[in-house]
Amino acid sequence: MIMNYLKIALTNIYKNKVYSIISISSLAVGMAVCILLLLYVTHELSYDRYHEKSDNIYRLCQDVHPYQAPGAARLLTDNLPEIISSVRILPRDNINVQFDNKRFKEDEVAWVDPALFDIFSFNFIVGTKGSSSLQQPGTVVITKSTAEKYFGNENPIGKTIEVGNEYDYLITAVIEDISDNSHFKFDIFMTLEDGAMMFGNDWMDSWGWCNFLVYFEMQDNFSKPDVEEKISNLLNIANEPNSTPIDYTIQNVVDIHLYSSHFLGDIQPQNSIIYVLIFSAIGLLILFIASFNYVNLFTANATNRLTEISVRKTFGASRRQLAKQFILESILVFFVSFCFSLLLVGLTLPLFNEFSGKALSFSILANTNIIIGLLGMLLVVGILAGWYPALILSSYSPTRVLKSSIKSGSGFQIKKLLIGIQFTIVIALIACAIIMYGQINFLETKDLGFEKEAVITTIFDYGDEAKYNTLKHELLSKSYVSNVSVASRIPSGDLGNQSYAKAEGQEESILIPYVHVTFDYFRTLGIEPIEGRLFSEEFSTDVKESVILNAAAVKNLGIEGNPIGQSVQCNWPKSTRKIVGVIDDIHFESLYNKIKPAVFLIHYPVVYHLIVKVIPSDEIGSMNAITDICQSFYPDEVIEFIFLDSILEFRYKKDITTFQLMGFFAALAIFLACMGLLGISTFIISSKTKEIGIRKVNGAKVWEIIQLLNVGFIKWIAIAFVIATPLAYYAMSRWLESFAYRTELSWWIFAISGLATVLIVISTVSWVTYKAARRNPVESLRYE
Amino acid sequence: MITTEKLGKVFRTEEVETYALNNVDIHIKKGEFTAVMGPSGCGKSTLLNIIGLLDNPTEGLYAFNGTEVSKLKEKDRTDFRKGNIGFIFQSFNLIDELNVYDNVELPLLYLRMKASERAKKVDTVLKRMKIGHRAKHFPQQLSGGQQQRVAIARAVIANPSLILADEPTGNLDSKNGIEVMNLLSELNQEGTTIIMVTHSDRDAGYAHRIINLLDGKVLMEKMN
Repeated sequence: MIMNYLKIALTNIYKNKVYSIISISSLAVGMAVCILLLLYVTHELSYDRYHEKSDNIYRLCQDVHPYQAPGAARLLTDNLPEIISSVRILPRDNINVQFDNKRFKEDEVAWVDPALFDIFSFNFIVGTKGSSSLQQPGTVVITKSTAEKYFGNENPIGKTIEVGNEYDYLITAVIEDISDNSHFKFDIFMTLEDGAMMFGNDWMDSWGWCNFLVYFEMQDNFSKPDVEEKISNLLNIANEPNSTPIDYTIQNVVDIHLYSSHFLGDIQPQNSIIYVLIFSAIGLLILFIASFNYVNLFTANATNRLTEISVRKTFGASRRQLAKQFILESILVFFVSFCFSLLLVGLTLPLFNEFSGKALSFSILANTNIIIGLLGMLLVVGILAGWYPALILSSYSPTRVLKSSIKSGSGFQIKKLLIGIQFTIVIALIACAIIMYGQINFLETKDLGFEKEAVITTIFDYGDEAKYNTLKHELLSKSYVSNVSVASRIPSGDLGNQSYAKAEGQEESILIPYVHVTFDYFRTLGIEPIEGRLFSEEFSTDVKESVILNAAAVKNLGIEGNPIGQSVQCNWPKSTRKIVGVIDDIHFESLYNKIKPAVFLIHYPVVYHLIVKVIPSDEIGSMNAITDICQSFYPDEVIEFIFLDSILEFRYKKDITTFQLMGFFAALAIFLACMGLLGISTFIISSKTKEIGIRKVNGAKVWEIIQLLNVGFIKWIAIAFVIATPLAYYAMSRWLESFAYRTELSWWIFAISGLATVLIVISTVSWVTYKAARRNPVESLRYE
Repeated sequence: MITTEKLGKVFRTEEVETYALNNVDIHIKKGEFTAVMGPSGCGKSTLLNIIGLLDNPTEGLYAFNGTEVSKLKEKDRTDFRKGNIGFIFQSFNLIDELNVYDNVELPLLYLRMKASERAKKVDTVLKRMKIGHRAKHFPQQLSGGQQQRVAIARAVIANPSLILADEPTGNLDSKNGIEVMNLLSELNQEGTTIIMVTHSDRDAGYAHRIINLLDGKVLMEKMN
């Protein structure tokens, strides 16, 4: 029996080439998209789950960032029985590391407590295993690829690397590279055992130096709200007096990657669950569209199979047997499409990886659960898609072929309903793509309040101030350099250096971001004062007694009247300073964040970002020349300049990638929906050949016939539009909410999406109708 | 074998009621060869559909081998039909996508017969219909007469006690038509009851009895 079904199914696939190609290719494309997105989503959801203790590992977080003071971990571990142990990680970038004559600038460097290797599960390859590897002062653990970079094939254990041009660290162990699905990826782990010596007791005892990531291994059962409350109580007492209380939270390690997008400057850019949901939804929607094509075409095509159905029924097939036959046929088509889709995925995976910046591979799928899930999905969708045609086809009465006069009306409009749903999806996707494009465009073109063009920047240790000044004068003597400065923070970074400040006449100190600068900082960035003046070498008091605020800081500190000349008590360094100027609120951080108040003052000891404004002509050449000059002053440093605007673009890379993928999938969805539409209108036309012939004989013009068919579809698009608009509106408002600065959701975006869809449908349907309507009516009537 | 009493079939739409059959009483004995004649639209095919259990009457009674079947549900009609009734159509109604062998085998599939047994039966019947050499051909590759022979093979493969033929020679030339009628006669002589709808007096001449229908009623019955 099965053989008989298979024979019929294969012959039908072969015989009705147009329908089969449309059905199978759209199913294959739909499934390929689904599998790609499944790979992506699976990868995103797998972050940090490989740690054996992942269920018990929690990260300590403040309101807006996950960084803590050095003493927080110890204080909490000693006082809260829920905490078994803790580890601190002090992440650092731009660190010079040297072995023999091999010197690199390392960005993934961390000072950690030895307990790191007890709490997290990293694989040791050689050397002392576990936490004992970092028990001794001056020890370091490196990853395999770092070991290869410095030592080639030699055994690195027992060798010493020089860190920051100053400190020697003994390599005690090598671990496997930290896998991609980790929320942090360090290459070099140095012990914090001698942290006090490294960073000084002042810093290690400070409660204002919030730079440590803190992780706890928790007991199996504890109340999260209780622990968070206890933590907040303990830490708010320990923090600087008069500071605003902070609500501390703890976050399970497996949630960090997808639920931390509200944090500023997480340890590495994390993804957001919103994108994971968006992509899951797109994958499903595209599979729907493809399945609907299949259902529609299969049902439409069934008129060609009336004889078969009737004969089978006449000779004893029950309705259930026929239904089973058609469902089996659907599963067969789905299986064939699935095989093609695997091929497609294989071909497009490298492209997808390039787009999404991931290194996904089929190996993610080599998991029993996922394979069962995929096959299950295949079966369920195959049955669901086969169910409707099976129901309809098996209900045909066999008396039809026996020339009885019964004519069953096929009044049911499910074909058009499915097309309606397809176009709901298409309209929503077009709207989302337009809105995303608008927002990305907004991000890229928004006036940020400073000049980002022709500014190059780098980070290294400039030595004492006099040496830096010599470099500065040397650079300024070049014709291609217009300004030079150095500061603790530059726009494009985050305002992470916070400390307290109090305005004259105010009671309370306020925690506020500090930007430590040197002369010419604002000039290099093209920022003008809105009140007062900028720092200038003409005023010798500027270094120790002046401060510049942005407009938000003036408001935040509660300064009333003319701010110029009023004094502010600063905490970093401790000093009382007079306000000499106010600058506008520039977008220092990305447009995800609201503009923050900021205090700008001159303080050389903590500056590390060098910025150079070059004359915009041969910018690359200038950058190379400047690099050479710096290198000649600082031969021990690894110096790499980068353009400020490229850093700025990089901030929205995730959004741009998402937009591009979204645009691509929207286009794909439209394409699939059009394929289906093409198939279904071809079918409708062929069933209306006689009607068209009669109309033409009676005087209908070609365009009147085209109109006739389009009207039916446009009604459904109108309904689709009404449903799609609020859906897209809701989804996109949610997405836009993550940006502090965003474009408007205008009505015309939705109007355009609707109109675009109408245009697509009209042109598809008209194209098919035109061909039919042009035919000689005598021909079509004779044919009937 | 077949007895109908006041059999009626009404097709209703919102506005019109059409009587396709009205008060039809017929009795057909086992082994009889009956021809049903009449002009287009007189209800011949409707009668055949009801007798073949493809459709239910709206009025009256129908007993098949003594069992009242006029109110059976579709599923039960299917079960009753299986193996009991074979059908032959004017336009052959072979499945284009299946070859001769598979077409003939079809009724046996629904009888859940073993593959080896099926093969034996199909071979025998194809030989008998003189189309054994065409087993692997598809319907489009055969002449009209050959196609109808395949259809007859399919109708008799399950040894039904009743064969219903709806204008079996309508699409054939006279030579092939005569050949098909001879085959039906042969089957009838072997004991199969045959009811045949026809427009052709020549074909009706093969029957024992002719029933004439007009406007859904039996106009007259005539013994040959």
